[in-house]
Amino acid sequence: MNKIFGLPESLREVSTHYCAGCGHGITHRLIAEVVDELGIREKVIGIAPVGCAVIAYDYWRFDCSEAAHGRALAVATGIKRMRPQNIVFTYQGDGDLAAIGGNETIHAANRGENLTVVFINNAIYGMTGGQMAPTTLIGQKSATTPEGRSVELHGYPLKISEMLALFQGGDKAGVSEPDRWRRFFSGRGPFSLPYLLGDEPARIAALDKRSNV
Amino acid sequence: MVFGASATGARALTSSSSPGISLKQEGISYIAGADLPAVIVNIQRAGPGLGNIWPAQSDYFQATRGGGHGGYRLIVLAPASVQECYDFMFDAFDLADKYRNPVMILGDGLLGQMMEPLEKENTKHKVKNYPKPWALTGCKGREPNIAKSFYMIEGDLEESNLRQQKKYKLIQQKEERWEECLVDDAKIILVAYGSMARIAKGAVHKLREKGKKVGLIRPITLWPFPKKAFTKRRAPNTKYLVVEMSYGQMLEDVLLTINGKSKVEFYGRSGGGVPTEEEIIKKVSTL
Ligand SMILES: Cc1ncc(C[n+]2csc(CCOP(=O)(O)OP(=O)(O)O)c2C)c(N)n1
Ligand code: SF4
Ligand SMILES: [Mg+2]
Repeated sequence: MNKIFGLPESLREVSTHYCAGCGHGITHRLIAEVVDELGIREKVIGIAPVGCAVIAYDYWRFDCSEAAHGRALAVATGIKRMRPQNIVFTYQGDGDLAAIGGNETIHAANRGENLTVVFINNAIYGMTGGQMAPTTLIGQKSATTPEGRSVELHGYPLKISEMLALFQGGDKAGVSEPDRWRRFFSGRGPFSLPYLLGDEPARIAALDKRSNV
Repeated sequence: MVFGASATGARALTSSSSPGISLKQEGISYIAGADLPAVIVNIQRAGPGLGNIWPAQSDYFQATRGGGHGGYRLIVLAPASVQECYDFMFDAFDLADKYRNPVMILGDGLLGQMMEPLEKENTKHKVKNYPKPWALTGCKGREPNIAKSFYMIEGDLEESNLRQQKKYKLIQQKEERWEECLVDDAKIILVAYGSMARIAKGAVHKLREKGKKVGLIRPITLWPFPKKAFTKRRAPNTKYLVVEMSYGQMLEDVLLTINGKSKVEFYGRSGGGVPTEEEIIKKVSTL
């Protein structure tokens, strides 16, 4: 008999602490499935962010590190440069990656670090109670923009993926936002999953294959 | 980056001068919290703020009291020569690996700019290989490892804190280091570290030539502070003079150690001002 569905080896059998309907749990699973499909569970090292996904390492079953808020790409750089034989990825929210960690994001991408970034942009600081993030949409109400985000007061949302795509090393640091992934999150707010990667195209293929399911 | 490199089991170092070290404090706290070994070099300049780029010893509190948040300890080594900068680097990495704790080498702008001969005794320094079963290497054939300082479940963080406190106690018992110079018959003992200690030593020798019974204690580990150097010399007729390129930071550790049993005086300058031999000799003559 062909097994067509089951718990990925890379995922622990525990319930998550996320709100009902949250996309973090789904992305954790997708990542676990991709890691299994590529057969890299014993090779991968993940970096959990500061944000709602801070204990992502309690859900995955492979080596993981924490990082200070926004510093996931600095930690990842340290790991990858010491262990180029491992596959290293960060998992970061928009507050983490686009606000406090904006500098790390820009420089890691510009250096063309051979890393994968899973960017979970929910357009809000989720963990701390829904404050405006750089990615909050115009008009979007949040704890710190009760009248909605205004261009005059808060500026336009930061277009991280588009910005990184402009980098000269853009062929090395690729940005991709596969539309098909969106349907995993449809109806759950502005949740998208761009990712940025180095020179391992196998991973793009696997992610895209997954999103075809 | 140091956190990440160290988490893989590599020997990792970062260096800067005062403002840069302030910037790194968040990361240092995380490294300490995650029990990761690392070496941090601070060649102190004067402050606060951007201050200036002249030598100072005004980061003693930052180095020995934690600097970052959360109540951790760094092992702090204070070299006083280029030779010691070289030698202590081996010790720093060994101590970091042995205790899984960040180690700081605290120098100052005088030392950082100094040129002097250096002997590389390669046979003396062997790079030890400490087993690092906790390292992130990919979980081949074992349960996954996690490098973290985060403990959300009630009681877990307290347990981790207490485990670290035990480690700190052990370090205090085993790793105090200091240098003594002419202290056995001394009525006045100078206390200074780093390049300040070299100037103080010059003053001690000049005072000895004049027949004054003066000696020097030079703390080499600033944390753990070398209490043992003082506890046997706390007679009421012994006087201490702490000399620093600050307005009295190590002074507090000397006061705590002497605990009122001897008289403790202080002479210090900062903001780029460096106490001279003559100034120290003048201060000694007032004691
Ligand atoms: C240096 C620092 N500043 C602030 C915080 C508090 N903090 C925790 S999570 C968070 C925001 C996280 O938002 P995001 O990265 O978008 O993740 P989400 O929770 O939305 O998934 C903040 C500000 C912190 N832990 N460290
Ligand atoms: S606050 Fe938002 S991101 Fe955080 S767990 Fe709840 S739904 Fe998920
Ligand atoms: Mg967010």
